[in-house]
Amino acid sequence: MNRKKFIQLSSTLVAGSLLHANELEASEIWNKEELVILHTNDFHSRFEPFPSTHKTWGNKGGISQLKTLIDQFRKQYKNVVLLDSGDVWQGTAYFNVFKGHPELEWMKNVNYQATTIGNHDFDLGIDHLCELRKKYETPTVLCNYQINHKGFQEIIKPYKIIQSGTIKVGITGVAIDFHDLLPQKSYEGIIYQDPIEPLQRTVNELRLNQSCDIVIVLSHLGYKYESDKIDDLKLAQHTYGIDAILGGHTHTFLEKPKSIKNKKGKYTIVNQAGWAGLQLGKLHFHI
Amino acid sequence: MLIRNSSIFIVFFFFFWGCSTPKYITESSANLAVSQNILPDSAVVYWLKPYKDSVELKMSKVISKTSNDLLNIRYKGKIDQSRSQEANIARVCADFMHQTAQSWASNNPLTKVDLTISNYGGFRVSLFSGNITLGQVYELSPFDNEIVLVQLNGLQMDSLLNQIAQKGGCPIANAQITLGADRWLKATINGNAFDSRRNYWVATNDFMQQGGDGFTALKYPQKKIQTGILVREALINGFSREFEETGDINPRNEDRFIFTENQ
Repeated sequence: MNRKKFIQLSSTLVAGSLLHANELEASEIWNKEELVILHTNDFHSRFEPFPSTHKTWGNKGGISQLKTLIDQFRKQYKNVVLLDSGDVWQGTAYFNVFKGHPELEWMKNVNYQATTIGNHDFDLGIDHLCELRKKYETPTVLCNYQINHKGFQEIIKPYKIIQSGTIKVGITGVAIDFHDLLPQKSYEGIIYQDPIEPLQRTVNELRLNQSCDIVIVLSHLGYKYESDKIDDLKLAQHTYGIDAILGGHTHTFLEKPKSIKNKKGKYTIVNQAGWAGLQLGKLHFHI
Repeated sequence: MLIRNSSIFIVFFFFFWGCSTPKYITESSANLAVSQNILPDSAVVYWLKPYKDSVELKMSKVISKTSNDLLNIRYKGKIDQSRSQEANIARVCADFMHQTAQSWASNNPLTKVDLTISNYGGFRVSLFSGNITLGQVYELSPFDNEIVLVQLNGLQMDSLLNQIAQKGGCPIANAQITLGADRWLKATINGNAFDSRRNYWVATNDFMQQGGDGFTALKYPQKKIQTGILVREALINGFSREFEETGDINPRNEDRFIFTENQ
């Protein structure tokens, strides 16, 4: 609840003077703003549906179909935010031929409002990544890398605040430990940090100082590991003040978004939408 | 009036303070399938067309054909007797890398490739029965990683075999390894039992050689030769050659890893 909305609401109620319980409930409904978060992850250059010969995903996916779905929700709801959790690059010949331009151009065209960094986004080196994200003004959020690379500093923000109607949406991101995943030269000037502490700090900033109504984390850590390696489920349990963690990396398909009890006993939603544009995640909130 | 208004204010302050957490609506939240029943957006189709045409021009060439599904399955050390019956794409690709590495080494008198290893993440899709296009091989092996040859001494080989065991196996050619929990138990390389007193030439990709995917045993070899041949080139050649020679891509039904019960 932001200040403006609160004042607006109080004056309406004061004007209404006498209030009974049922009227109170009615005014609550009247006041609710709806927010729909749409999200993808691990697009992996999959512009077209899988070929019909593919036994698992034949004819599924494709950005033309994805766009239709996104537009449907944009028509249906007033407040829609479109987000992505990294690894937009690598996986089809489009990436080998065009070196990542059409992926970021597509994200700009369809108006992705924030994304984070996946390990494959480093595949053509950090300088190439920076050059293209700068060119296409890709809104990239990330709070757990220590950055000593000028180009990377220019393209990364620790968080982004999106004003959607009267709702203030705070968005940050956490990215993976790349040491086993990437050759050293592709991440020179960047130091990975365990995400829990920097994330909690950023979330507190968004909640307390920036008074966001809702806080969303874009994660490329992965949904779940049996080992003690950090994943989205552990991240949700060890933090607080986060409404949803939208994941990636493990290409996980979930029947429904999961509700996980956080450090303060409240619930954080954890979700991931498969990969390759095969699914569009949709989270619906009343604020 | 003033008093009354402020008391209402206070009541409502507390009421809405309690409601300030966003309410998640379970029923209308979901992961929605992007299915073929959805009408394609014509503007996106139009935008994509020049990219699509260009990719098709370069990548739609049929280079091979398979009657078997070549599945991308990672066994992660699980005991599954049926696995050896499948034409696992990891085995096919490891063989093609091995053939290329061997033929490269045959022109270099100092080397003789004993075995070839790769990482599961290096081969990324399944190929289903039917034509194999150039574009599919790019999806299978999208990275511009090259084949490197490294010479390891017995001690380094021992660590490498243990790292393979800890991974629960990897794409491998010209070797058979029995794995226990977290360590190797028995290894046959090029038809002979592993001999820790000698050096071995291992072909791999440069990503793994630099310690990628945790294969640190490859990082400081006795000798190292970069072939300049991309893994993908080896696969393209392998797929076309095997189809030309045999009319198919043949299943590799032999076990390359034997997982013991205590795995």
